[in-house]
Amino acid sequence: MISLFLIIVLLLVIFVSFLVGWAISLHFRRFGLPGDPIFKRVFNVFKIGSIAFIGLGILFLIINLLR
Amino acid sequence: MITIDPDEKIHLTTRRHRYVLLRLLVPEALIFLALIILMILLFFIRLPAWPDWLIDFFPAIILVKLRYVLLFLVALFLQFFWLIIFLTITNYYFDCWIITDRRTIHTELRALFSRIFSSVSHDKIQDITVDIHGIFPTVLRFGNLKIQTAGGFREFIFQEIPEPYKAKDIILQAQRGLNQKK
Repeated sequence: MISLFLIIVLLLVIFVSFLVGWAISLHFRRFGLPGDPIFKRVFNVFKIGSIAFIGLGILFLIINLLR
Repeated sequence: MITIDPDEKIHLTTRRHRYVLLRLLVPEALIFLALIILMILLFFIRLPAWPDWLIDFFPAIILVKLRYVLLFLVALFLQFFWLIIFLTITNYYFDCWIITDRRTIHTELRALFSRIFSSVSHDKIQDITVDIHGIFPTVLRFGNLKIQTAGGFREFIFQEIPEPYKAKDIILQAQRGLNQKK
């Protein structure tokens, strides 16, 4: 029951992160500004960070379920 | 996409001063760091067991480990603050003023799905005001630049841009150039 609740919270965070990333990349593609490569690099760092933190969350959840 | 004519020259692309970005990022970064420290501490500190009243109220809770639930929640909070930090940077980046030889363009990201794009032709500019107010703006040389336009008495404000006097000179120069062409 609790694990199910934690999984739902995790899915919600993944959905919000994906939505934000998608919205920003949409703005970026449609309304690009001069000097965009700088922002592209920042966006890549954001993607890597997001994958890492969500990955950590999944890892702790799996450890919790297995123990 | 911002379309600039092939024969239109960009004289200046400016955003808010980096101090403004730093001012917004420092509190968020501190919370982020505190969460990382908390995560490291959670690995090593001895945690108490679930309280008895909680076990009585919800017996299934003994099946989950307090340490890993807390680590899981901290990881999600880290992701949440990571999002906020990135949104602050995005907001800073998309809030931009472009001065060309013909017009001044302003783009602003108001919310995630709300964006404003406006431009004013230099021949419609009636008055330009520079406003530098406070200790940090004076020392770091940033401030507001207000453009009063003729049609509809609209105000066009460059907020907290670096070197506003330089931007003012560039606009006036571009305006003179545009008038000479006509």
